[in-house]
Amino acid sequence: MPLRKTLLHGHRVLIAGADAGGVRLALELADAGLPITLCTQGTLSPEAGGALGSSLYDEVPLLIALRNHPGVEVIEAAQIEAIEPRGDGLAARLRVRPQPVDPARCTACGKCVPVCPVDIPAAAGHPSHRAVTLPPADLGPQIARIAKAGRAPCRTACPIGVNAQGYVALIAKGRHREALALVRDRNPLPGICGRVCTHPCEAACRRGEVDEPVAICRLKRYAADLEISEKIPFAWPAPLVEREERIAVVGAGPAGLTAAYELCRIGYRVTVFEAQLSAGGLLRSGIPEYRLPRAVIDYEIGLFAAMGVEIRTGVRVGQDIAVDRLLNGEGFSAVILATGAPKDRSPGIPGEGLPGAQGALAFLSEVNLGGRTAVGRHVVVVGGGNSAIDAARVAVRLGAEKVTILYRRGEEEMPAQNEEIEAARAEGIALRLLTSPVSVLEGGGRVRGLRCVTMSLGEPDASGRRRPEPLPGSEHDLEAETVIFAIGQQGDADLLGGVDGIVLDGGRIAIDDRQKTGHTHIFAAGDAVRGPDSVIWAMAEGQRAALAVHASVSGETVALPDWTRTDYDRSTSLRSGIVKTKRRKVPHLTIARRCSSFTEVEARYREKDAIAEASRCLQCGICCECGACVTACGEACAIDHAGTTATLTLPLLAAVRTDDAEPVAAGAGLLLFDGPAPDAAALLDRLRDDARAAQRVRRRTIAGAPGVHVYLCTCNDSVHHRDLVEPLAAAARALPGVAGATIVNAACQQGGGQALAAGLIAGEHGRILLAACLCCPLEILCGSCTHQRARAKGFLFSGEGIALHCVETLNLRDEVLNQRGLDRDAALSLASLSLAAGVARALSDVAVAAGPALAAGNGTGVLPGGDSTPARRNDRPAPLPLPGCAITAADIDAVLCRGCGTCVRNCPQEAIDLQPRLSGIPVARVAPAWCTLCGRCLAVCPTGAPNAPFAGHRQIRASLAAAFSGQRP
Amino acid sequence: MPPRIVVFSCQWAPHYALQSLYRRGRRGEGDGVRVLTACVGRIGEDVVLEAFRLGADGVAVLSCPPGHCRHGLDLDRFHARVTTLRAILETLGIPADRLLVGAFQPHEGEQLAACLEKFSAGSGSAAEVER
Repeated sequence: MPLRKTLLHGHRVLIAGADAGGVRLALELADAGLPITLCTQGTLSPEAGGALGSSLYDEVPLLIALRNHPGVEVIEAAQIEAIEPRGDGLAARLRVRPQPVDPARCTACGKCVPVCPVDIPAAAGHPSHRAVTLPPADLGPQIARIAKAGRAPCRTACPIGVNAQGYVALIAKGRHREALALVRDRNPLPGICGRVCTHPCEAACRRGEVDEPVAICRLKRYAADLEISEKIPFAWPAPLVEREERIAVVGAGPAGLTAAYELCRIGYRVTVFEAQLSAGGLLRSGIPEYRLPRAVIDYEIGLFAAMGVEIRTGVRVGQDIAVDRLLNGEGFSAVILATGAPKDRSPGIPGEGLPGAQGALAFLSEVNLGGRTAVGRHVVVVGGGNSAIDAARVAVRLGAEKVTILYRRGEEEMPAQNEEIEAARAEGIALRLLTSPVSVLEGGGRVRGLRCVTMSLGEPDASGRRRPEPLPGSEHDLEAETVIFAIGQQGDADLLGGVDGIVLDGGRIAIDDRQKTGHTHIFAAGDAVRGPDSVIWAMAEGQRAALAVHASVSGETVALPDWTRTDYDRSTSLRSGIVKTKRRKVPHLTIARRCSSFTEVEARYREKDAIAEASRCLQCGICCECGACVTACGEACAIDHAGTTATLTLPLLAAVRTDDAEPVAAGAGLLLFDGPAPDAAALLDRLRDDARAAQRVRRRTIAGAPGVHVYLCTCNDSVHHRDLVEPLAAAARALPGVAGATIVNAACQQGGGQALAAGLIAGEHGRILLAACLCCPLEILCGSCTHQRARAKGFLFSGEGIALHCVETLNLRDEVLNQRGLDRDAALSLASLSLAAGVARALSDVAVAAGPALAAGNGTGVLPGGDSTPARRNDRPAPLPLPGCAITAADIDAVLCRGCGTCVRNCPQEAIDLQPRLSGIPVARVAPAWCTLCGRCLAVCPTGAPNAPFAGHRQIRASLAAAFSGQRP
Repeated sequence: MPPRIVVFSCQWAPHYALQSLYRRGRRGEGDGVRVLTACVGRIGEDVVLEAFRLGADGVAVLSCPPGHCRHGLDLDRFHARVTTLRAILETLGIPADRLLVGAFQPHEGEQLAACLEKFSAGSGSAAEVER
């Protein structure tokens, strides 16, 4: 039959829209056995989508049933891009935003909520809340929700993808250790970057649209400095995999160190070769101590050893050891060249080689590494970048009386950071703009000054900056005893001479788009490739090179990071009501103290200022993906932030668009494709009938040893009276009839369901008492049911095929263990009583009409009761169960039954009929194949003749007896 | 020693009402021995008498309001039983006000709790708190 064929091929019915009609239709069709996909643009909840009617008590169970129906797939945050004919049916293309919480794993324990550091202010009648929320159980399936608006601009602006929003949010909550761990997830040098980073994150910060950007960079420094002052070194997590391959990194500057860090985290053994006697590269030689104290460099590089990175200093690769030899003789699998741009560019003007004239890097290196302490009285620094500012400010500290920065463009065109320029000015350094040197003047065999020319700005050049052009006749002289050229840096090509495949392009190492040189095993990164750039961009290169090496060495497919990707829509308006707040300033040394020493100019934030500054963050991405919720979720593993927007293509049998759904390209109304224009209603009806017959629950016959096994669920280790669970389990084991007691983390997860079923299936015991959050073991969903309860039942009954009569339940979580108002003794007493009653119920003899196990192997089997099994009144044949399975049902106590027929008239499944007996008074009899254990016969019978698990006559009596027997664990 | 109360509760509306309270942190130790049933229409004279025989000081039977039965039942038969039951209790020397019969909507958790507390405290006759 063609329809069967399409079903077997995975064709589904798509219901677009989760309004009341869509939900009901989905359930109806799924009950009929059709595989259903219900998709909605929002979330499946009455409050989110207004999906259901006003009576939550009535309607919420429908949502729970939908969530837990094995035949229904719910796709939230989905947009239908198209529904088109394809092959023998239809195909829908859906664009689905990632959902961080897995509805099949969330236990609603709520542990993720208090750890979330993101506060969403109250708005539009909604109180303030966290980015993670747990909706009340009576408002729909209780699944944690995480609000997201894409990755925040600060985060995507960071070249190495540091989660700026996340660590700022954590600092705002006073959680600086977690904040620092989050920074280190991408950045191994937080204290260094917290001082010298050019912080593109702050340029992207949307707080700047209101007043000033959040001081993201200095907040990072705050967290890093606290760690140093607390003297509790960071504990690196061990890599997941230990790899045998060794990787060599040449250069211990920011690019090399970052590459080493990434490779080490992936599990490689990494050796860094550094020509200088101390690691750090330009961080140590090129950045003055008043900006970056050596102690901070020493501390952060010192942590690399703890991580397992070997740093060999004083080894000049290319001179002491050839690059080729690292690969061929030393056994490294790959080499990353991160040799930086350690040489000054020369200006190419007459007199540049005179004593007293030198490059900025050479000058700074002499001061930082060589202990130079003197400089001329008049110092001129040529250049407009950060190196020029550094050289000028160092000159001030070395005692220069007059320091002038010469720059050939205007101040707006200066590449140096504004705060650096301001600091230089504050220290008395003069800026001489639109001025360019022509030659160095000589006097007495050394520098005596500079001949300069005044410039004007013409048309923009390739860099976008206006081209400086000399004004004719504007030459003039400046007096100077020291001239420092800070006009650029370049790589050291001598290192690389003679290495096969390495090509230099203008002094830079040429690489492909995966950081690879012309040599198969040699990669390059940082300033050696880009030319002189900021620390953070060098680190980004190192990160990329490390991942490229990993891909090359392991053979795995590894995408190089593109941190700029985001779903965030910057065009969205900022929320209203943001109060303008000034950016908190960090304490600075006085000008007099600055100029007379190399003491660090900026101090770190005080705690209250750091928290206040971090609290200015607007939390653009809403959820900051800091991962605190993932950690809190623990063993449940219900949260994953790694998902990305994806496009799904679904093969369809039919598509139904409800009023709630957005228009789609095709498929409005009901579409059915299977052969020549079948009649929709008849088709669905036929499928429903077929499916109903086929999908009868196939349950296992449990012929286990007598006795009850008690399972106590801790709701993902979250119940308030957690300390009572072990004593209760121990006490339960002492109860008569209890075969054992086991504590499970989450009975509502698949693993939990399997654990519960295992003992039954193995025949170790005949029944279980599940002391979790379930009130009843029936398959019905009442108003009190929750998503987790329904899910647990689904795993047990539908998933594992456990018969209902094998399971007794007890809502120990809500009624005792989670009641914060109960003191320990009261809770223990109440829980003991409940456990005893539950065990008594479980032990009470439930006579089900299951009969003996069915014959296996012939594919047909025989129903319990053989030929006398009543047929339904519509004369449809009862379905045949699978071999080895039995079907449980209510049973009728023939002694109590008066044959009145009340149950027959009221059974919604038409599963009961009256059978004659010798006395002439008929007796009710249940057809197990049709009974769904809804309990209605129990409700209507005037004599209490029907019995069923949970609420049967015997269970009630057993509960009472246990409660009054004083039988306490 | 506090009175021992047995509460037979329909698993629908009154159970929902109590569950809502528990989720909001209600302490449940004063709510007696709770016995959940598929429908209190199921509760016959025998189990109520059994509860008293075992030592209950009071028995409460909580149902859905008239017209709200999930099984579509009218509770006339149940109420007829209650009348009979009270007569039996009187015969046995058990005051009829030690049997509380109440019907509650799902959202009437607070009223239900107040009713149980009053009944449990024995501060008034069951007739006063009966709904």
